[in-house]
Amino acid sequence: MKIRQEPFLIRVIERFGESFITLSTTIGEVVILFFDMLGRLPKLLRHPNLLLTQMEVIGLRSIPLVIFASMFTGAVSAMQAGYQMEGYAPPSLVGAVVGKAVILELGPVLTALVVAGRVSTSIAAELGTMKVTEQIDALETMAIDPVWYLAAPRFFAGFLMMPILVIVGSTVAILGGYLVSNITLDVSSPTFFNGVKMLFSSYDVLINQVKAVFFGGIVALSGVFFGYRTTGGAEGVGKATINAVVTALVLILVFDYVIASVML
Amino acid sequence: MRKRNRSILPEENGCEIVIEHLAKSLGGQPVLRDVNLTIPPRGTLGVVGRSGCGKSVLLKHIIGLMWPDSGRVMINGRELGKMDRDELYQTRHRFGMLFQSAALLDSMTVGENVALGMIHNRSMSRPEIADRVSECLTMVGLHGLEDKLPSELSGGMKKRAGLARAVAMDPEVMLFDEPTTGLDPIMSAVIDEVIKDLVERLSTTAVVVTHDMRSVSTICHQVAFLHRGIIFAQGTPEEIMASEDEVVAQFIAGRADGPIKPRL
Repeated sequence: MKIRQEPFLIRVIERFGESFITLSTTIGEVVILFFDMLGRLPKLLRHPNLLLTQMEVIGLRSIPLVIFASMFTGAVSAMQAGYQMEGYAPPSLVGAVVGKAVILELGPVLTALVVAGRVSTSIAAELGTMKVTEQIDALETMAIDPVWYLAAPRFFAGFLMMPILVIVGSTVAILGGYLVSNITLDVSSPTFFNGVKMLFSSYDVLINQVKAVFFGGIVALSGVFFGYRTTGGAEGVGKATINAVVTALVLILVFDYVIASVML
Repeated sequence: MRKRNRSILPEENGCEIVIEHLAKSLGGQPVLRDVNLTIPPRGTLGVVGRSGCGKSVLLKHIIGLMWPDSGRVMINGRELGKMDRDELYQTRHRFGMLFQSAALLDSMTVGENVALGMIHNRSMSRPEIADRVSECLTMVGLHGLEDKLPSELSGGMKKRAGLARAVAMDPEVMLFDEPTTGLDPIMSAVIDEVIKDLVERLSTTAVVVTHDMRSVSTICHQVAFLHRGIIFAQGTPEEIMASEDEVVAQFIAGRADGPIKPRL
């Protein structure tokens, strides 16, 4: 049997149209979920235990990982700064370079990337498993609103805890830079921290925290969204987890650029 | 005796469920075409039919976990699809549902699962909730297992824990989705006895979705046979068992040959 094929151009347009519709629908669903969760905030604040539990799970338990990653990030920044400035600029500027880079860029972005790997995946896997095993349906039948009970606490916990994690990460990264400068580049403590202070601006901290707030929302929202719309069995949970982390990583980088363009 | 949380109509009316011209397609395939069914207050209706014929889909429409493409579900004269979220949840307070997989929240103990609905929907003190949990678990023969996790229970115990959770809120309507599927014949008989006893003791309306004809004859007052997306036959278990209709007779006898052609 001969199957008649549409012309190539028509097929390309069809494929483009399908992708556009899927993307528009997904964005619409994300916006609806966001406002649904926002609407549950007053009730969530009346039952703070749900939020506090997730703040501990998402925030406090991420601190060791953030400290570990940030320490090495700061250390390698100082090492590379020292290497690149060798013979061109005094070592006293290492502190200035590390401080500026960490506060403006490395602190928020690397902390968010590390937390995305841990948090987006765990939220998506947890909610996805609950979805495919009918646990979310079971909550519905008990008249417990799953958006309030499951989604909103995770989203707002991510939103609230990321700025704290970024402060921890940025501080530890600067300390990591200091240790390497002090030990390998022979930069004294006052020299290093005077350098940090020299280029320090409170506006940079504002940018650092604005990024943190956006990245926290992105990390938690992608986990909640893909977990919540999981279908199929174990394979579906795997796909949701991958989608959550990939989306979070891409959006963090995109929003990093957007925020930098707007605020710098 | 505990007072029930009546939300829509006075207690003496009970809960009547009327399904009118219900149609639903999943993935482009029609599952329910034109289901018409009245479930009177008090009494047990069994919904039987082949695997994949839409029994669970029908059950999920009754409690608002799925929404029809056309047709409607009326609870005491109020259309489920026209209720706002608060009214829908108020209505769900009157329901209890046992899922095929039991759908226990696996991060919580058995006791916490049973208590969950009461914690969030009733103004009961902690000792009152603990007493009720113990009472419900005793009813289903799981006394003393409050602190076990669902992963530590056998299939039959999970079903009974799910039953305890479903009855904890004193529901007026109980929905059972294949309560004996996957259990050995002895455990199936135990679950049947527990369901029969609970329905009689609580004088609730019950809808049991199953393809286990032995369960049907043990616990149901009425049987509806779902076939090709419609209620193909309805009557008492004895009438259905004695039906001379070839389709019904083939299903009851469990024969491979007949008007129903199994898809291999």
